[in-house]
Amino acid sequence: MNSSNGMFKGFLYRYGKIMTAYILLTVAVWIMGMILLPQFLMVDYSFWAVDEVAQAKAMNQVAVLETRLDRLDAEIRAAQKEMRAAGDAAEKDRISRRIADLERRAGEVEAGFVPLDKAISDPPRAYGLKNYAYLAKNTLHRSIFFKTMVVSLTVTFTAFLLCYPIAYYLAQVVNKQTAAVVFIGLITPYWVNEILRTFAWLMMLSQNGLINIALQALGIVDAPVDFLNNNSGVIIGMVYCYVLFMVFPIYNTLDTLDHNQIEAARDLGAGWWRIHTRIAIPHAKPGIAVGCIMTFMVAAGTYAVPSILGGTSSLWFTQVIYSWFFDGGNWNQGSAYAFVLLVLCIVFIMAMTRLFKVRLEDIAK
Amino acid sequence: MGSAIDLEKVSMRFGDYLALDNVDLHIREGEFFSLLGSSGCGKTTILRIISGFLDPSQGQVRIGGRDMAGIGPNKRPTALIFQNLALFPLMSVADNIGFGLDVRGVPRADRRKKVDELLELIALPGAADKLVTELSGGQRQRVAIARALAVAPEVLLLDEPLSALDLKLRQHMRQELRAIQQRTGVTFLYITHDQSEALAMSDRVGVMSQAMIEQVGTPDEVYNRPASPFVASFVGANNVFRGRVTRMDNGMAVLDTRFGALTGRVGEGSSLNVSDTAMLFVRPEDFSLANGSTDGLNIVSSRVRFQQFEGAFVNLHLENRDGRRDLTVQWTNRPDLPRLDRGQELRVGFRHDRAMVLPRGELANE
Repeated sequence: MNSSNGMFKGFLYRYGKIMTAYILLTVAVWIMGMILLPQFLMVDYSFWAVDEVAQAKAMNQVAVLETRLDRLDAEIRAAQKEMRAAGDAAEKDRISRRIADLERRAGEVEAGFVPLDKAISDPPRAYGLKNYAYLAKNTLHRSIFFKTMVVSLTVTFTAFLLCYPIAYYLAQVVNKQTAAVVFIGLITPYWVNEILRTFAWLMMLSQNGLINIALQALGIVDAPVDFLNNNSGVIIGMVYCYVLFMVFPIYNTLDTLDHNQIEAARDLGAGWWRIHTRIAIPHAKPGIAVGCIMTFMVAAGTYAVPSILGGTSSLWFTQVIYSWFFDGGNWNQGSAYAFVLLVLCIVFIMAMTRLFKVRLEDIAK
Repeated sequence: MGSAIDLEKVSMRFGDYLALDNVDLHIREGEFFSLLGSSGCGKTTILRIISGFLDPSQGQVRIGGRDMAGIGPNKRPTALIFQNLALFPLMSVADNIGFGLDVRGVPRADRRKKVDELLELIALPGAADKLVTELSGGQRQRVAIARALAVAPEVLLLDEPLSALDLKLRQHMRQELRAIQQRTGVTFLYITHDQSEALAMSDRVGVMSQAMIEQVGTPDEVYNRPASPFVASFVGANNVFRGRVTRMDNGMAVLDTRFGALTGRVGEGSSLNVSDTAMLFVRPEDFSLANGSTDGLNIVSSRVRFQQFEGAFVNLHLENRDGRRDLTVQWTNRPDLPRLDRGQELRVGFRHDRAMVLPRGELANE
């Protein structure tokens, strides 16, 4: 509270009243409009479903009313015909009274449609856990969910194994100029958008792509490896797409590690393994936690990479969510799936902060 | 007594820059040896070569008689104390001290015992479970020493570890370091730019200038019998008189200077001939008021420029008659000190055998 108060005063001092008000207002609008309201709406959606029984009953009643209306219309038409054929005034008067009576009844039937129409176009909502229960019962979707989780963890771990040495090398081994050159090398591929980068991997990983040609030429495999219909293509593509999310946080923390600490450990007899496990990794913990959280979240939440590199037999959970929203037209079911994914990510964040014994404040720093 | 460290013709080159030029250095077992030099003279390079973080471009390094070529810093019988101490901030005091034992696979119980012994040695019992960030500057200093001593090194290398402390604590830590060295008997190689530190603590001092070692000797030798003008001007304050040798006689030389003819003893091992240009050095504290017998004394006529009262002593700044050269005189504070005014004529003297004559050479930059 104290520090946020101080931060507010600092803001006021630096930007003045008008700018501060503007910044606070835009942030509030952003938080409300972009984060809280859509999330609340989604959570709300996920907990109700259309009351199908009530909807079907309404539709039946509509059908009943429609036949009654048709019958009345036919009677009215028959009466009008009699009217034209009728001779004396007394008979005409009798028929016109009958028509008026029929029209009154038709009007009553038509009025009956109004509440039913509403029940069909905006059907009653049944609140409950039906949407979640559906996911729990659907073995295919459940297995896709767990596969997404396991593969995202694999991607995160692979990215860590790949990125920690790079980050250490950049932060502790080379000088700043060399590090800058390597950073440019790391960032340049990201100037191309994600879809194109992923397509590049599609070309490399396909049955007669570069990698299979190389593997066959070297005699390592006889038949081309089908990277795209198992998860390896997805893992390779995601690791490649998201390494920067891992490299930068780890680099940032390792960069603040006093090089003397490494030399001191080495001088005291520590080999490389000990230096990393006892000195460098404990120091880099907040960065590693941030890197893992970010990589896991983008991996679990990606749509493009699995839909391009995943083929047909390796669906991603986001693809299932997508199809609920846009193919199945069931937003409630989609929302429930999306909310489960969100909960998974939150659980992962909490697990990481627990595992690395870092607090969210440390990560924010 | 054996040799703890031997450097034989060690040179170190960084690109075009020569950091060490053919250095020979022999440090005896169990001595407190200081390398004294200004920043950039190569003293830290020597330390890093001995500890194994740098490989010399040329020459041989032996520790305890064994050639260290190809042996990494983690395999050498040395322990380094860094200028910023480089304690591990995420570990407790005990884990810091026990780190070297831990990586050597010493079991927990033995480790704990050794840590407690060392905490006793550095007078910090009960601090085992504190974080190093909770300690004061002097306490951290001692933990760094304990951490280095824990691995039972043959040689302890210290890279100006006291430079971050305030004066009082620094003086206290000098005594403490010396005491710890004497109690443990470990060879200490101490790097410093602070000459009073080097003189106060060391058995022997090596004075460095620009990639070379100028002189190695006891503090007394280095101070009282400097081997070169650099050492004479770098270690302690010194007055310099430049002049031409007019007479050589029985290890004494007479120089013709701007203050007149001055006599001093010729430095050991320096070859001087009549008519060579030379330098005569005399310490500020070797001056006395010249009133009485002038036998065996050089007499300098001068004028008072100003006086500085420093408490235990008084610094007197004098100039010669034409005001072009000045000299510093230091007297201990006594009640019978004369009252001196600016511009007052003053004859001061110093004994012939307290003045050193050396061939002309480079002086240390002030």
